[in-house]
Amino acid sequence: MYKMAVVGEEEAVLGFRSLGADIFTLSRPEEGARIIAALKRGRYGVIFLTERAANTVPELVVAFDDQPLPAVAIIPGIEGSMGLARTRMKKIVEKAVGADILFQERG
Amino acid sequence: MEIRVSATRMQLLATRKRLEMAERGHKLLKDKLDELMKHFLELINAEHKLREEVEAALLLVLPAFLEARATMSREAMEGALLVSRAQSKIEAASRNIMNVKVPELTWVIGEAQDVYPYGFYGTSAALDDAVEGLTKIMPKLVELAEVEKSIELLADELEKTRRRVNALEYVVIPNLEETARYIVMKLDEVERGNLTRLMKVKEIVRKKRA
Repeated sequence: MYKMAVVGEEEAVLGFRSLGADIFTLSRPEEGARIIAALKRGRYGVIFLTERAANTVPELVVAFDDQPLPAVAIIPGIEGSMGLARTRMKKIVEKAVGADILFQERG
Repeated sequence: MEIRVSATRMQLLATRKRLEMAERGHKLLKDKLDELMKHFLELINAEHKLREEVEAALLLVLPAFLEARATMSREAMEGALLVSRAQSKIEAASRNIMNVKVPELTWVIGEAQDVYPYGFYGTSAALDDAVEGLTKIMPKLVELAEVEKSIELLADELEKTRRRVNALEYVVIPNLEETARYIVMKLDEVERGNLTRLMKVKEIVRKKRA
């Protein structure tokens, strides 16, 4: 069994507390390293990052790229989606296929 | 590229064998690439759909928590959420796509019978709604995470395979072909040289007899 973690600004992660996920609040970039270290120590299966957290500490997004677990997913904060997750997928596709074949028509 | 082989029949045979092997490898890898790409595109489409769904749902649910907080005291809210007995866990299995291990995640909530992890006293209905809404989309959220991770892992494998295919197609195979051609030409040249020498010798011999 793995744990679930949510990293983000206080207002956005509030709700996940009710589900018993591990909550890491993050407001300043300096906190990033500490959180990554904590995430590496724990056995996490899924880590949700709010867009604002992903923006503040970009390392969070790529910290677990080469491992099968945990899966990191970006979720929108309260103010709505800035399309960060889509940009990330787009980059991955471009790297794999060598061209942007998917997102042109969808913008 | 410079060719450094001795132009012998042995070398020619060896080179041809390697060429054959490289071509077979290339074909296999290309098939693998196509198949990987098929799975990859499927996942991409699934991800796209899931993300749209999840983002729309989250945009309704997350503000609901803020709303709930507005209708009750901060302490009551924090208290209600902190005492939560619910334990979100992730069950992980793994699945094999073209020899790439991708995770299969399921969201498990302990003591699932009781979704609301707090008493009714001092908490608002808005909080109940918010918690319920979030609970509903959690499985989708976890699935999204799973699909995105799979895409990431497959992308790595795709890139590696594509590199190998290209290396074989544009470097290894042309090189081997050139080597084989070089050896054939060299051998032909030696053959011609031999022939003229023989003719010359025969002529000398004939002249001596005459």
